Amino acid sequence: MKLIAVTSCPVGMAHTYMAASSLKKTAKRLGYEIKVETQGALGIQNRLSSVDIEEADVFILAADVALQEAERFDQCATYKVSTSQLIKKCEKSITEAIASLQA
Amino acid sequence: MTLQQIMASENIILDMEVTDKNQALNKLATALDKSGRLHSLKGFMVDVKKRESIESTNMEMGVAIPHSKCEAIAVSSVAMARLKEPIDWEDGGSLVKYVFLLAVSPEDDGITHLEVISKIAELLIEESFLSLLSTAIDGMTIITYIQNYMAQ
Repeated sequence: MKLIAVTSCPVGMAHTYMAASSLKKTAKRLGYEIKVETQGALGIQNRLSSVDIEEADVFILAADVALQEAERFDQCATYKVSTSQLIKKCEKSITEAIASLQA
Repeated sequence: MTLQQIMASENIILDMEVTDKNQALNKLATALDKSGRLHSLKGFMVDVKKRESIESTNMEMGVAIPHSKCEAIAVSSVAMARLKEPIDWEDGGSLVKYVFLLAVSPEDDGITHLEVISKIAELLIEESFLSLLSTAIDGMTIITYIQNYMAQ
């Protein structure tokens, strides 16, 4: 199971990075491979490549503000969640994302 | 900017005694102001509260991360409080014991200050860091821990 995610938040200082960190930690614990792109005050970091996007089974979109370069993800089955939900209930969000997109 | 320039030990307040959210925010912001990090305490408080009104920054792990990027900030900074008694964050959520007030100045060029703050944000989901916060005897202990994490 390959997961990709993008996180972003209004000020781009805290939630973006907390959510990314929380996703990586939780996915690892659950035994999933994940790559997380952050779109915060530091700009786009850990950019998802077209290969990453193509190979991904699940795309978790945690963007509290407009996604940058959104067209890259046009073909993705997308699960949307807020960054704060992701930080507070990360395991539940990942499980739900997988369940909803495989259904 | 280095971690120590951003998170000075004088802005880490352990066992702060407050009764509500407003008092906690005021005390932390005043500490930043006294250490010369703000142009306007009032302007800063207005922006912090504005961000808080969009969505509560209570992270439900006993940690809240109020934050702001605005003209009222002279030097990018992090102030932190460990509260003697946890307080209600006035959002219907769980009680808050640790408050990290993050301030980014639009005057700071480059990205090092943002890198430091993003690393601190990452640490806030680590149980080992939260456990250190609960027992730390001084600000330097906390700063050293973050320093080591950043060096990894």
